[in-house]
Amino acid sequence: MSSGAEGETRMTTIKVDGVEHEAPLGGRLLDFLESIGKVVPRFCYHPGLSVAASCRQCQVESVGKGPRPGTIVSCRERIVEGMEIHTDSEAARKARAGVMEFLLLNHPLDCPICDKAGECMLQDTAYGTGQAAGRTVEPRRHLPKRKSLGDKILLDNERCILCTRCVRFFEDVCGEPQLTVVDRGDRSYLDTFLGEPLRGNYQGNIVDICPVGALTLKKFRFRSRPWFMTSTPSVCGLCSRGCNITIDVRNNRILRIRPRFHGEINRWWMCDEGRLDFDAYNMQPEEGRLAEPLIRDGEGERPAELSELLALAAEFCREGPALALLSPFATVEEGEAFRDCFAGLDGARAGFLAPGRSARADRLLHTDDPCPNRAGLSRIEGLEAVAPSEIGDCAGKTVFLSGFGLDVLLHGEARTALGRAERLIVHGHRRPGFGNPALLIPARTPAEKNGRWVNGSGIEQRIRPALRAPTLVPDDLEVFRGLAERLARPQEVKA
Amino acid sequence: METSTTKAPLPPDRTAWWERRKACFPEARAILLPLLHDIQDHRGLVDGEAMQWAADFVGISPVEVYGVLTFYWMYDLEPRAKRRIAVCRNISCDLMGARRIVEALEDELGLECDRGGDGDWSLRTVECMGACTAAPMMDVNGRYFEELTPEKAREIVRAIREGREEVPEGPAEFAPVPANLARSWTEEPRKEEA
Amino acid sequence: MSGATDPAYAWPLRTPHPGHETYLFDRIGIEGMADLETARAHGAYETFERVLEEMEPSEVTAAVKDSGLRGRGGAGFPCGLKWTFMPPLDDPRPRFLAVNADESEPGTCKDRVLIRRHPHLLLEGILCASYAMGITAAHIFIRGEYVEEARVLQRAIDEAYAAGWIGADIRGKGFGVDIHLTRGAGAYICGEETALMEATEGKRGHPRPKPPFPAAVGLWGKPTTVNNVETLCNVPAILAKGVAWYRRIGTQASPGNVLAGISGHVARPGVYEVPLGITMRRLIEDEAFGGGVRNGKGLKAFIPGGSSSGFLPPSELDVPLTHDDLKEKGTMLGTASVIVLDEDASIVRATRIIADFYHDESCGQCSQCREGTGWLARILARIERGAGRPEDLDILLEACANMKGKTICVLSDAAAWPVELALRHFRGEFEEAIDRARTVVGVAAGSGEGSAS
Repeated sequence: MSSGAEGETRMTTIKVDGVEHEAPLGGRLLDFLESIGKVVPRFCYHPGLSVAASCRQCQVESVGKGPRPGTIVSCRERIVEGMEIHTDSEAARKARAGVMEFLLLNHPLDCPICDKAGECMLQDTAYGTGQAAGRTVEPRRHLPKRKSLGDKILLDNERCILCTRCVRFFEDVCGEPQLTVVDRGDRSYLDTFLGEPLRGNYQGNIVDICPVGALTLKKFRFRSRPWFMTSTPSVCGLCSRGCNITIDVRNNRILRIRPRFHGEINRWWMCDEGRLDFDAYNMQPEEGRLAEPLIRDGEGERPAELSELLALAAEFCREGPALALLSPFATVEEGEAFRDCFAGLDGARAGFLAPGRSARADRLLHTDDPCPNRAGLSRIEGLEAVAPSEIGDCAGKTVFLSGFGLDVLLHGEARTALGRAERLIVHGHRRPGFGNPALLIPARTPAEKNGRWVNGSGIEQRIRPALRAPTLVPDDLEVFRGLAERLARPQEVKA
Repeated sequence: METSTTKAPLPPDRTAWWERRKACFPEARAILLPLLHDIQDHRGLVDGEAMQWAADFVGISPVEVYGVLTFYWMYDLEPRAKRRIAVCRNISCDLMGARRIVEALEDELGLECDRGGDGDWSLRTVECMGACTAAPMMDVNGRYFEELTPEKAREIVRAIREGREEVPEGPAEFAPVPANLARSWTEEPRKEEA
Repeated sequence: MSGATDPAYAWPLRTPHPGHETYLFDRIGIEGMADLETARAHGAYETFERVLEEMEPSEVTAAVKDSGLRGRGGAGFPCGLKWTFMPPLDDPRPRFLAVNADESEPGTCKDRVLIRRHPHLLLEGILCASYAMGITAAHIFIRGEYVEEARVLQRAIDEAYAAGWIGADIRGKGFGVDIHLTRGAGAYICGEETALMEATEGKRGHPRPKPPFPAAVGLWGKPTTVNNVETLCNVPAILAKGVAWYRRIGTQASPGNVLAGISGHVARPGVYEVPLGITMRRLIEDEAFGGGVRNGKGLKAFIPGGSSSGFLPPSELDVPLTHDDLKEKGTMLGTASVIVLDEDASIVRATRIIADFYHDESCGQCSQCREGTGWLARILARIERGAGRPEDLDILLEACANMKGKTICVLSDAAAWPVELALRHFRGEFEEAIDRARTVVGVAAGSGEGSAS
């Protein structure tokens, strides 16, 4: 994985902009400069990819020992004893400004209509190191501007600065080349094999690492300027990997999910499924989102206060042998509260759904476990792991199904069994699609919660609310606490 | 990798020759450039199907073959003319009148230079071909014609047309892969027995 | 017409100058030297056989090092020293010799003569070098355009294999080496040593960042030495006739003969084997060589060592043809390929043609080279077209400065040098071209300027 961690790193003193620093011997100069707060612009260098050293933007000036005196590309340079570096000397600034001028010669400068504007490395660097006005009067190169690379990605060849990050992503990370630079010199352009669509579950990463607006996500195209969105760090819930993500939201809708670096879990990457399957989180009441507590009333349903539903739920649970099943999307905190609800109830069986392994595992990130918090819930004493086959016959029972995601993890026989429950209570973000629930308590989605998940390798992480839940959707914990209260002190509640 | 479903673009004996040739290199893809030449000499172009086949044959992705192929100017993705004239436009040839050679050939062939061809002939200018001391020059299907004058260039075209002058067509002859290869590039320790 | 004979002999070969000793071209005039039988009759592989019998590998390297032979591919790096960068012979890893036959520098066509006329000399040089460095396989990369040369060389290799000069256990002496030929497909950059290795491996010809140098990480990641064809052709003579003999030819710092190509506006263009240190004046004007500017014209400029070495004015004619003397003049010996421009030639056009070439041939990896070569070419084309602006020349020079010494390989530098040298020595011609343009459009452009002053 990342460099340097093996054994003990020997340190040496190097001089940067006249100040002495302790630096790891043999470490990458660019990384070190960044670690001491120097801004070194770069396009082709990405810590997760092999080093191309081709954009030449990260030049600094070397005046001490080690590399030859003059400007050097810091992404390729290793730290040696006696090094002396100027990051902001005349020579360094001129070299970087020179590269910027060359890169902008053929760039379309269509920032006003470019999705990347505002988070574009070329734009940022141009403001930082470039000249105010271009000196070229030559016609710019014209290339295809809206080339579809399959159902997810769009390519603009004119904006591409040929850093080859995307080419190297497929080679280095996926081990399956899908993109290449075609032709040579300033006629070169990015292409797939004869323009065929991209394949696989990791395409979106090339959009993240594209330093310009050449590769854009179709799903995000023209949806929002980056500065109009708020970003919330969280964790992906589509498998047990627990990829760290950033959720970008505007007007209480998720517009984009991006991976966030975690050295042991997902590094810089995430799968397309986790990136693009956020429609469930954005579900609106008119699209079927359960937005208020509902009680079955004959053939229909009527809205009611949460307290009324909780009282009824407690009553139902006491009445029949109860099966309480929690979604493996629930947080550790919710798992504990859920267990506490049913701990004192005679004949109640409380557990979380533990579905079988999927066939979705790949070499990169996606695991074969569709549950984001199986490990966290398994650790909770008194909370049983219930496989779908262990649900058993529910006829005559009270069944309490709780939490976002439970419905999608239940199939066939399990659904039929649960649907036969005498009294079905559903605590979900939408109707389950089976059975005839007596009570419908709205639940929050993982994008509306704060809590802990433990991923498949035992790392505990926090998910954070990126969206505001609809007004009448209580926090899941509030539901469990309210229910626990009513189950523990039934007389008082009745009185 | 030999289980490719794509039809081989080369005759079986030639494919077998390349199979043996692969073993001369630490990595099979080392044969890629000459292999693509051979495919082009047989088929007149290297199309997507041929790239796919070549990729399977040397064990890489087709997109890599595509990248390699387009880096070099001598490969054609589109069908090429039967006789292909390339006139050097670089410095030595330009000083010695390459422009007049191009004009003469355009006139003789009724073609516009660098605008494709008519299937029978194509005419283009190229960078230095390495015949500078015999400038100006042109290359027809891989054969050089040097120390040209406009009249000489016209005469060569006429001679080729009338079969008085031969230019290479089709694939080159290959000698068998030698039997006494040292083949010492493998990772096994060398010279230990010696 | 010429085509009636074997095209190989249509080559305009000038007789070697009788005034000095030759060892590269001494046998190329013999008909059939490309055939093993004829070549053997004229001494091919005799040096190698003696080396196998009498010399230790280290002695071969020492001899080449002591000879002072410098690479003939352009950079002029001491050849023997380069060989010593290879790991010691007991290092078990395979190691390779990459032979650079990708002669592509405009003005240069010397290796082509050697390959076409005397391929066994090259093979013998490769065998000696392989023995010295314990090479396990030599990979010759020849430019794709050299179809005929590749055919001749492959035939020579096949014949040498069949006769047991190449392959396993050569002459029963326990030393074996393979020689393989790979034909390129048209890319100047493959003459750069690391791009050559990439192309040999079947990839896009992208130069690799250095370090690591090829001697550490070369072909297929293994220790590799890259030598030019002409350099290797020097080796058998050094080993046959001795270091002392070799050092008597040429100069102290640049010993030996060099194949100097003379093209452009001279009376006798051709490739000549001359001792290093000969003056440009003699090379261009001597009746035995260039024979002076043709048609009795005056000399305007000359390019001393291939297109990237740029233009020198006639006042520099007395510079000796050595690495150091030409470096002092701000240019280089390069491939010793002299291009002569007579008084009627346009420096603006010549510079634009050379800029076009580098624009066409940039591999496109580094930003400065990919974009800069195109910018130079477009500005120069505009000046040539008569649409130049006074500020263009300063922009050209600044672009050149930004292109030099900052990229993975030196193609970017090579594109900048000729433009810089043209502007240093012939700036007036560019100014004139721009002034002419302004006079023509002066009516339109002039009014604004007039009111400003």
